[in-house]
Amino acid sequence: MTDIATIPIGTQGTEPAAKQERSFLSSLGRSAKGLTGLFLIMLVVACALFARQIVPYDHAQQVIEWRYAPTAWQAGGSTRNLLGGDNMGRDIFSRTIMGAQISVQVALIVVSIALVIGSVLGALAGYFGGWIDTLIMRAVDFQLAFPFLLLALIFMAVLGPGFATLVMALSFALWINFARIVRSETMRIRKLDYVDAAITMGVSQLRIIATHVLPNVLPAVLVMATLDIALVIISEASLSFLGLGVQPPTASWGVMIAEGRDFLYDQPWIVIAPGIAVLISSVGINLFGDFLRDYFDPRLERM
Amino acid sequence: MVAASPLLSVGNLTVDYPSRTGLIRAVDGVSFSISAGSVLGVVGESGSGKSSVGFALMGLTDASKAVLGGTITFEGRDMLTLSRSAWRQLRGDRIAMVFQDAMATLNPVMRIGDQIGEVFRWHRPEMSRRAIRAACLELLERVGIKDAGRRIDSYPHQLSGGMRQRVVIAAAIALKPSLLIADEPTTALDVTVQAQILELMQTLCREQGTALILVSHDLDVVSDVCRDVVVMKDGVVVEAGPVDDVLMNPQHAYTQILLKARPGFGSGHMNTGAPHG
Amino acid sequence: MLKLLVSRFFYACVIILGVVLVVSSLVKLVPGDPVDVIAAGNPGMSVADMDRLRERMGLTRSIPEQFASYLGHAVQGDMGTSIRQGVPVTKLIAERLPATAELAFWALVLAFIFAIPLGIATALKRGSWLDYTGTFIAVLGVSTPGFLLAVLMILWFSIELRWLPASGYRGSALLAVGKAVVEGKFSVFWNAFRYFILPAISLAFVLIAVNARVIRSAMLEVLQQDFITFATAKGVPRLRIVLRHALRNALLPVVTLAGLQMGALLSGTVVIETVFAWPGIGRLAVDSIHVRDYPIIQAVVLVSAVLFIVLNLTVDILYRFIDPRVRDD
Repeated sequence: MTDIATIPIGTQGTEPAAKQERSFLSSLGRSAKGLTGLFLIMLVVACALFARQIVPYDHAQQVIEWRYAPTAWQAGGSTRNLLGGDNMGRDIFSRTIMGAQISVQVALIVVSIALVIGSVLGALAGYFGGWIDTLIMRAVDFQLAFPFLLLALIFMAVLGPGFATLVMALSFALWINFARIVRSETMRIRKLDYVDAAITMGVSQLRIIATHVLPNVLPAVLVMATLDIALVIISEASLSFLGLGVQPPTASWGVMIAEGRDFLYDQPWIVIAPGIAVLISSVGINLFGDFLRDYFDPRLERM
Repeated sequence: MVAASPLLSVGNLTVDYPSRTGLIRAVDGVSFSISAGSVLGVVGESGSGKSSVGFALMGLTDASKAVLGGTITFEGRDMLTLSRSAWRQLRGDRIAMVFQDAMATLNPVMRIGDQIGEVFRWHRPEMSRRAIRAACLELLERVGIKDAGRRIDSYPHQLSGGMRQRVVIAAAIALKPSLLIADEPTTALDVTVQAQILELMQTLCREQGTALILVSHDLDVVSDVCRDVVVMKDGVVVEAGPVDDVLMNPQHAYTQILLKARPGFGSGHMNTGAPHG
Repeated sequence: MLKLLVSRFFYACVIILGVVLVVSSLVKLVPGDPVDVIAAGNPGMSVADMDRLRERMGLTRSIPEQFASYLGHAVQGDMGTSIRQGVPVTKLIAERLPATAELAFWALVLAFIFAIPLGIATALKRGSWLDYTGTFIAVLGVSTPGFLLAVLMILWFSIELRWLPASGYRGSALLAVGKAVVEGKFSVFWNAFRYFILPAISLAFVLIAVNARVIRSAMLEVLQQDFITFATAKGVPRLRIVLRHALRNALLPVVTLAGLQMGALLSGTVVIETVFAWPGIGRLAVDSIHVRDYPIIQAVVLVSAVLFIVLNLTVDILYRFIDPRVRDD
């Protein structure tokens, strides 16, 4: 265990650390991008958490008089239906708020599954190399030969559309992102002399992964997870829009937009409200993800 | 430096770069002049401001970043008041520059013939494509590139380091400028190639009557090539005069340190660099 | 070079073989078989009829046998028969592939027409309001699902302004170019092309955003290189330096990305074609999933994967011609 061998790790660790004279919170405070992103995310998460408390009506409740009701600020509108009523006489505001719950749920479940599976497989491949690495990376390569959505379509075709299929399909499509990051970082650290030394000294491999590998991959994984959440929200909406994801009458944003498409002329807000909701979520997450990337990887900051 | 007015005279030149804490002065009141066809060395360590002087003479200090002060008079014109387009017409035609790293100086995705030909294209619009190609071929031969007919269509990565620097020189001297500024032209090259490149630049400048400003950290190189030398440290000229005087009788402590750092100092026969002339 | 080509080609073949294997075995996992699907639609079918049909469709053979037979036929261009429509799948795909391909083509054209100037301008005017607008567009681009943009554009340009059609397809615009020139009538081209505008923009928006960012950061890096200084020292005009010296180098990373973006385009067409009632293979796939027409799904996935691999291979080879350094390796 020479000094030279520890230098790469040391510099790797101190590079962001040196910047951390500015702590995470004060960096966040200075970043318009980060603050805006965080605000939008919190807005959506709050809607999801307190959906039942916020909504004035049940999202499936149909009232004949509410059909195509105008929004509160349009002629003839009232605060009864803030964003108007849809083609079936349901309250658009209530449905949009409930949609947040679906989106956040799907995003968290999918990204957690993909993160755990991808990280474990990536760490195995990078740490042990050999046939394990070959096997896992071939699978990754193979999957890269499929466009993302096509892969999801195969799942839908085989298992039939629905919530469970959606979660499976998206998790399956995303695990490779995490596997690739974790693998390359693990390989880099595995080659360092002092890890070799630790192994010869009989330190358990699990412990090496936990103490040396994990802290180093964490920032990259965190950034990837954040950006992937936006990707999942968009994909969920897209697949539900195609009728292949969350099924009606559940109020998913994608479902709402699909349903409202035929009534654009009568009440465009059936589409506009969930549309804005999708945008708020994905813009918020992407802004915050950008901020995280700048924070953890100062080399990219000048861009 | 008597008689007729010099080709270039620099008076009290300052170059300031803005930074977070305010302006940083890279060049602080530098004055010198050079007559037509002569050779001047500018010596100093990295960070001494010598390269900033070279860039200021070319008008290459980014206008949005650097603030210039003092005077630069070239062929009777005040250079600091020139318009952008006047600068453009001068550069590559009357004043040219050779840089340190020829690999980085050449565009990796452009054939070397095109890179030399650009000089003609933008300064001699009357020349036809064919005439430009012929001129480029001739230039490549002049700078000692064998098989010029084939090399003209090569890309930079297909050439050796020495050949790349020859290409850069060819582009620089193409229009027979009256002043050539060479910023560490041999530092990135093998020792054996260094001497050839220096020799080539000297010969070409002599043939064309081009004055040469050689910017270098290497006193050996400068003493081989130049008649006069300016020694810079921390943006200030600490010593100036004929090379022999400065080397034989260094007045300033810094020059003495530079001299001591020379390889082979103290034993007149050990000579790792270029042959003494 | 040739050695590389051959090895890449073989690699592509292995991947394609894998795709066929995975897709067909997944389809075998489905509870019930195509005959059950057909029977569900024809209440008059007896069990004996179903067995006879299974025999005829080769479903009674072992799975490896079925796989080999599918592969053998696929190579000859026979990808089975649609369960619902009773038409050869190859014919269905051949009818619809051109519409998808041309849509993707126009989307790519749009992407570059907008991304290149935007990338250059934001790099040159770094820190200006233009640059911030560029950042805004970039975030919006990666955050907006194509179908949402599509629906919102229909709302605005078709329903409010009545400028462009909300859906449909009136034949190839590329072919119409020739006809328009011959007949001297721009309207011939426009009548086909205007149906492409909204779907192509919907597909291109994310590519514009991403590519403009990539070009911007690549430009910023290239503009600091010594060869840019040298070109200035040669007296080359600024605009020429930006376009000839900097852009060519800055486009290299975009070309490497292009292969992956083909995937995004292929995925995008699935959704966009559904929105605009576009008769392409994407909509064919979605429709087929709803009615469980497996031979079609299998074929669309296979064709898309092959397309994706071939396009990536092409981009890879193209890159070798654009960057002389890689070409000589």
